Amino acid sequence: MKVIADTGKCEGYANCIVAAPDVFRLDDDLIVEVVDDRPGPAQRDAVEEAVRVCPTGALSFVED
Amino acid sequence: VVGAALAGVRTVHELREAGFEGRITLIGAERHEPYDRPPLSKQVLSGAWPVARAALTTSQELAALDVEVRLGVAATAFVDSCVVLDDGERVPFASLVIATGVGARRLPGQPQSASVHVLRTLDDALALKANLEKAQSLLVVGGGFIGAEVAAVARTQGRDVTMVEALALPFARVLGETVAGLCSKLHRSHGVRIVTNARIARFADDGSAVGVELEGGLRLESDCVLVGVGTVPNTAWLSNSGVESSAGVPCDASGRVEGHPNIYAVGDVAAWHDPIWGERLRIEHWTSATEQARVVARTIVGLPAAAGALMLPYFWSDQYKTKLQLVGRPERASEVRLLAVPDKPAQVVGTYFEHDRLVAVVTFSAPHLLARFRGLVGDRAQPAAVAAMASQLGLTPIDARAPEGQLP
Repeated sequence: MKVIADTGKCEGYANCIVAAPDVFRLDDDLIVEVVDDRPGPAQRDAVEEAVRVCPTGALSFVED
Repeated sequence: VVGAALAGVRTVHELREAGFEGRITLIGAERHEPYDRPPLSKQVLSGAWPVARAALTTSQELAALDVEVRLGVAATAFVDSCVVLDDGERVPFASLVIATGVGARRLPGQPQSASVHVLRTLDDALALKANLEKAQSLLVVGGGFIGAEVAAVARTQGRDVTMVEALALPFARVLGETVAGLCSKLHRSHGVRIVTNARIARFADDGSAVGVELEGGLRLESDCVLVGVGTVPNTAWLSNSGVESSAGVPCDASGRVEGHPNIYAVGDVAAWHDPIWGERLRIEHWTSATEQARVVARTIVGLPAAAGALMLPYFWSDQYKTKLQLVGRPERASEVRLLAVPDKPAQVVGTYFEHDRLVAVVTFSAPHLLARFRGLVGDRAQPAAVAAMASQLGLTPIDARAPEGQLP
């Protein structure tokens, strides 16, 4: 999967770094940064949860 | 699915995602296409977002999911496995999901006036926005988060803002006194006049200005009044259904309504049994609604449905440039310990303890830190573990009796 973050939509609620701390972080301006945009299968549930719980709908992924 | 806001809409999405192949009807009392509520008191009210950006879904998307959508009709009852609508139609169901949410509480004697508002629906937000655009002044009745967010928008637009609170400190009911003090400071520093220990004797509306008269005689006038004094579960339609619902709809830990194996409840109206706290909680927060929708959808189709880490009560509030976030149960706490972030005076962490167990964490402008403490709240961690995390993050204790140096 390829993980995509729309930094224009992100408002820094940080739900994603609770759900998938190995995939997302917040930068110094507290906006999302994808640290692993091609996470392995072990991260799938976590990434799906992050997408689901983002209050601004800033996250998505596409299948390879 | 009765209720077409976040919890109801997410439920129908999750049902299809989980492989549910049956017929789905989504019933919403409001005429608008489903929308998200958090932006109403923030980006929609300020005008930063067009209304369309608050949309939760579109009719095309729901049609693609093969969901029959009935908007602008309210459920009035359910009998014999049928939901009765206010246009007389009966919608039969094998499973029912109750997602009717809550409504804004009004005060006794609150007038029906174009200048006196509550804020719950999109129509409420648009009416308030239109009034604020012409107003010089805003009076906020009730020191809660809706009032705080509206006050912040109005101050940012240069309006005179007065907030009236019945207790000695606004925000204290939710945040406890220590953190409420910080929040009050934030609003005072932005020029909000806060009147405390103030009980409303009556509303006054002489046509040109509205306002309130307080017990003791003080009269506060304004061009625009917002009443933000809490919510009431939308359960009147369940009154003859056999579902006990005066304090929300009581459910087990997977959202099944007590005593009704084919009926579920999600979102603000639902009081789920919570395994972490061992009691029933009605949580009026965005993230809980999304998690509950997923659990109920998976339960309906017979899939395992473990609740995720984000089932903890969690809310955020944007006020001025400050992002306030809280996870857990601050109302249980007997002690609050504040932590400072070196060289970042706008960032504060508050840790709430109940008998040496961490029960909640609040952050001001520090979402990355909230994320680090969240797991500790779920674990009800002991002070040593909390102190270890604080130390690892380089945070330093603030005297909770004198936190005034924090927040610029």
